[in-house]
Amino acid sequence: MSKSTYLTFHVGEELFAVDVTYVLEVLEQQTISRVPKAPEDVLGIVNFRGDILPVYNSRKKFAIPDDEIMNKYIIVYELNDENSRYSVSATVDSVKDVIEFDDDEITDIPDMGVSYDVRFVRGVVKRDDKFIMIIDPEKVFFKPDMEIKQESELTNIQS
Amino acid sequence: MEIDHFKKIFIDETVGHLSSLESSLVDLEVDFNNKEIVRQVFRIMHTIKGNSGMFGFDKIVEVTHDLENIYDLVRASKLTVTTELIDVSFSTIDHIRNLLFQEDIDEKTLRKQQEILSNIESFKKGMKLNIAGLDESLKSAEVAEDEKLRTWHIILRLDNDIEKRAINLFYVIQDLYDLGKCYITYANFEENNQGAGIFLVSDQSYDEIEEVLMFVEDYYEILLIAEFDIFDEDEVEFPIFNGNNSMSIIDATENPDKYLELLHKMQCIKQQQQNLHLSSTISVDVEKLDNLMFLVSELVTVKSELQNSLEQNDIERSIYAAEKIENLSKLFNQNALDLRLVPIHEITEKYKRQIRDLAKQVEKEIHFEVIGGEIELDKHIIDTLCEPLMHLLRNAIDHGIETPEKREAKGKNRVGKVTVKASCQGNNVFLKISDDGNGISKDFIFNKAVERGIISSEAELSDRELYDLIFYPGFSTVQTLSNISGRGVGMDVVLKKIEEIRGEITVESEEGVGTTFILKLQQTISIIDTLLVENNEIVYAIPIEDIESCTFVPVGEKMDKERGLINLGGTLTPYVYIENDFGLKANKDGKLVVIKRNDLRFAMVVDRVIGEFQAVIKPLTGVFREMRFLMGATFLGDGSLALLLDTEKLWETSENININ
Repeated sequence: MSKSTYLTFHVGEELFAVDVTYVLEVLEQQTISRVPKAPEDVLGIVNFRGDILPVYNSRKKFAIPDDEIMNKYIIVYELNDENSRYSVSATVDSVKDVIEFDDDEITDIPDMGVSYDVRFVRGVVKRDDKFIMIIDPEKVFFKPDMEIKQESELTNIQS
Repeated sequence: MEIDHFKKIFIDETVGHLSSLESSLVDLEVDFNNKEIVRQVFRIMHTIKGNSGMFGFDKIVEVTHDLENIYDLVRASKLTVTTELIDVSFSTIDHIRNLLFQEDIDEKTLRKQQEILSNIESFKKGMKLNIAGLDESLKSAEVAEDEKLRTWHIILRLDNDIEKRAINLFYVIQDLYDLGKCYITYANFEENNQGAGIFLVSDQSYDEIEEVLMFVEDYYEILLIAEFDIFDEDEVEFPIFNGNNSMSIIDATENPDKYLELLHKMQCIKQQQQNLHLSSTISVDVEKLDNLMFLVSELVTVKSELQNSLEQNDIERSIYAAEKIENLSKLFNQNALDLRLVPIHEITEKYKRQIRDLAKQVEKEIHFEVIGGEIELDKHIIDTLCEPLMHLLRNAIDHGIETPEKREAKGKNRVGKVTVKASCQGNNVFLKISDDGNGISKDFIFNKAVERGIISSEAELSDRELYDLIFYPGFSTVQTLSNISGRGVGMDVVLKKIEEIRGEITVESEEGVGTTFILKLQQTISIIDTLLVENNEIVYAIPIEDIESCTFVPVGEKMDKERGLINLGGTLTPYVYIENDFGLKANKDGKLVVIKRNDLRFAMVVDRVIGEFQAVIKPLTGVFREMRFLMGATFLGDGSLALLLDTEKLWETSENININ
């Protein structure tokens, strides 16, 4: 059975994991510049190797009570959509470990009053009596393609 | 490797030569007897012939040789220029372009080669030519595009999940065989682990291939490998599927050498294509390069000066050297921007040919003129501008300029005039695209806008407001959609493209006399002068050219909080606080920045004015794309970020909030 390597991190009481192939870097103590009128789940922007990345608030994304002081680390993701790569970043409380999971260790989410969006979660792994949620960052940080859609709609009207 | 590099330069250069050749031919077509242009044409052809010979493009040598001879005879007044000759020359140019990018020459091109050679030959003998009409050649070019064989690599990987849906990969592959020739590199039909790698040579489009793979959605990958059949004239032996179950396949595990060889070949082809098509080059004035070399030598000197003074602990000299470096970095910055500047005629020269063809197609007579083509713009801006500018020109020819008969009936010159005029004002470049055609009917726009529900029938609009309506999405002023303009891209896309490069567009028109589009553009957009202000611990950068003045917030009766107006030297000016919500907030002490951009004038209350700053604009992506009042962000000296404001969009945003 094939194995993959995951980075685990804490947001609130919950333990999450993400496939390391999506992770570019983990930043510590980075100044986040606020952006007025930004969506609720966006904390601001950050300077990452000369590019500007949005910083998401993982607590808001996973519906965990907000606590500004705990947003200590920033995970920088590199994601793909249909035709391009894009980078985003998101705060987490702490980064825990790098672990390998067998693919067949990952099971569907147990149906028991999950409070966050289940589409974001690929599955669950049980380790030491604790559940680790494996997130799908491409679904969590979906790149809005509003502009492209508008354009194609327009072409339809005219042609 | 070396030779490939030179070949690329040769191709770049030849493409450039062909463009200038086209431009000269367009001029020659207007003035058949202009010997100077004939000499020019001859010279360019001679250069192309010589260079092509060096790189083994024999077919190009062959056609240019024959055509060059004709122009030699014209030069010696033994032959005269005719429309036929110009047509042959243009089709030769197209043909050469084709030859440049074809590694292996296909049959169609060979036939074309023969046709052109015989045309040139007959022209020499003064015989009637066999020239396909322009329309026809355009059509056949389109057809050829559709019929063109492409090579695709398709990877299918199914997992257990899809098995539940009872899909057999075998049948999917069978469907693929209906699309074209398939070469299977590996395949596995075992129940739990189905997968296959297939090269497909087909004339079908991406969409059509995707349709076949509909049932295995999410489990495939389609890559375009080459714009031709990579297996053509080749000895690679792959079994071709004959439609029944007894399919022999090359298994990557069993026959790794062959598989690797194929993959390698595929990568080589891909790379070649990238080299040829994707890289964008820029030709640079030698003077600018000399300047760069001078700066580099200065930098090296200052660097050793700094090193030396630091070693000796000489603070004073170190500071002096640091200052020198600061000045140098400004010069480097200026030089880098200069290097990116490209004269406008780089694109307008290309238009000449397109306009000629277009005019022929719609049976109009057009005189196209470019004034101020030497004015330079940033390469990025030029590239972005290329398409919208052509759209405006197409519109002018298709809808603006009347047919020669109509023009004569109106007492106008038969030949319609289309002009692109560039001029410079400070850091701004103005482009005026004008035609002396029919103009835009105000009534027509008004009625159409009412009909579309964009404005009410009682609306009173200024001329500018009225003309701005044509930029409204989906607003087309053309009654009958012709096959040239009026399909797909509309004026709203032109507007969007121009806004992308921070430009502005306005329209002036007079019915019966003509229309002018005025584009106001920044010469460069990557670096702009800004004023930094701070509000609520967020630092903003405002383009300095948008700022009229900075003052203190006035007190007492000068400020009308109810209506959000400030009395500034007798003028009531609306104001906004840039707070998180951009709405109005209670009065507080601060500074007032007065913004003036075109007709827009308003004041902004901020906590603090920091000072001037040269901002390198970094784009904001993703979630911020919808926030149009932000043009981007910029790094400050300490590594923190400032948000770059688009004042006009900021005003629109705050206005909307106030209304709500």
